[in-house]
This record gives sequence, C-alpha cells and structure tokens, in this order.
Amino acid sequence: MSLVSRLVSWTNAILRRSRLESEMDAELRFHIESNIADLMRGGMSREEATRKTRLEFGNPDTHKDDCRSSLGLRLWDELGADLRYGGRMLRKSPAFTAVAILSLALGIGANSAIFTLANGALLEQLNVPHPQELHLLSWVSGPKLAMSHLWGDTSKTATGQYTSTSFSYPVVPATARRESFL
Amino acid sequence: MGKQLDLIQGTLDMLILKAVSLGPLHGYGVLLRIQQISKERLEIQQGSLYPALYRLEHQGWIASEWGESENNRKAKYYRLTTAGKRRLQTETDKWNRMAKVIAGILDTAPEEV
Repeated sequence: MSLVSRLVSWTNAILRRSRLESEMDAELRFHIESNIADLMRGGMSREEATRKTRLEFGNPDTHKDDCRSSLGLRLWDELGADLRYGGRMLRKSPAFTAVAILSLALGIGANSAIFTLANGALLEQLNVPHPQELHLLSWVSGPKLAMSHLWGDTSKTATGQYTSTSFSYPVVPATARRESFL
Repeated sequence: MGKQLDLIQGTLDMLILKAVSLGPLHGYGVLLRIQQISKERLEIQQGSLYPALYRLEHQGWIASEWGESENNRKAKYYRLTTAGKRRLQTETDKWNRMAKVIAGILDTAPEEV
C-alpha cells in the first residue's frame, strides 16, 4: 500500500514539477501570512509580527528542500544536476568531446565487428547440411611421437601420451575415402 | 504558561495524524490544533511541519486538497486516509506500550530488583 502510494506520489511530483513548486510556495506563504495576521490581531505591529514569524518559521528554502526530500526527489534532482553539469563541461571543451566520442565510436564499432565474426565462426551452427552429424576427429600418440609435440596443436593426456585434432594432409583424403566416416 | 517541552524525535508524525484525524486542516491549522490540544506545552518547529506533512502524504497516510480557508484564501487542506487511520492506531498502540514499559522501569525501587 505504502509502496504504491510512494510510487504514485513520486511520479506525480516529477510529472507536475512546476505545479508542485508553485503549490509549495503558496502553502508556505499562506502559513507565514496567517501567522503574521494572527500576531497582529494580538496587538503586534506588522514589522514586529513579520520579524517574529520569520524567526519562528526558519528559512523557507531549507524547508522546501526538506519537503522535496520527503517526496524522494533528492536523488532525481541530483541526477539532473549532474547530467546538466556534464553537458556543460562537454560543450566547454569540444576537442575533448570529439576525442571521447570518436574513441567510443571506434571501440563500439571494433567490438561489434569482432563479435559478428566470432558469432559466425564459433557460436552459430556451420552452414552445412545436417550440422548435427559433424564430428571432431582426434588422434592419440603411441609410446613414441613421430613429430615434435611443438608442431601443430597437441596436448598431453593424463597417461602421458599426446593428442591432437590436427592431421597431416595425406590422412584427410584417406579418411574421406572410408565410407563409415561420411 | 510553563516551560515548553521539545518534541521527542519521531513523535511529530503521530501528532499530525492525530490532528488531522479530528477533521481536515491546512498546515498552519495543524500547528494551531496541536498547540491548542497540548495547551501550548509543546514546542513545535514550524518549518519542520511541512517536510513531515509531505512525507506523510507521500506514504499515503494523509491526502491533500486545495480549498478555501476561514478568511477566504486558498489553502491546502490535509485529511486522514483509511491507511492513515490504521497507521495512527498502530502508532498509538506502540506509543502506549512503550510509555508503559519506560514508566515501569523508571518507577522501579531498589528493593524490587
């Protein structure tokens, strides 16, 4: 209940900000003037009543600030002020702004280009018929390795042998000829 | 008129709810009514009244409406909502329980411990 009414009140305050401000002004002014009138009815002079009221009421601007905080407008106002300040600073140094925008543009552009590439090569299915039938072939070395393990893309298995998914070229047509693979 | 008491922190909200529960009031009227009921024994910071009113309205415990004041001026009137009535009840109960406990502690004689 309270959450809903806080949300409604906050939205209202933001959408009708100028009305809120003028109503707040009118409300505080009504209070101050009523107090002055009451004191004058008690026999005080206008100057004396105004002085006493001002003293007792305190600074209206401080109270208005507290009222805005009560409505949860402080964060919102500070965010707006920060954004305006940021915009002003950017307008003041156009060279810096241009460099910042350019590096952001390049960064975002490069990033999306690389992602497009990686997405096509690594993440999406290969553009072949029946991609689910694709196999990744690998070999495991015997006790001796015929080539240097530095060649190609080899890794060590738990039992100390070498394994790799790279094949020398003659293996490829030989393998393709064996129908069981295809 | 004896010396005025400063308001205990957190009690202003409760007093405002009680004041407007007796009938719709504008902000200045809330001040006058609390002073009148307390027989001028409470010192209320006039300006702090408005942040409290805005907070209570924000939470939906009071609602406001512009109307005409006694001297034919436009004034913002506050009234208690249904949720505010419940809130006032729970606050009152809490306050009475708390006051009883504190009073009990302060009344304790050495031989009772």
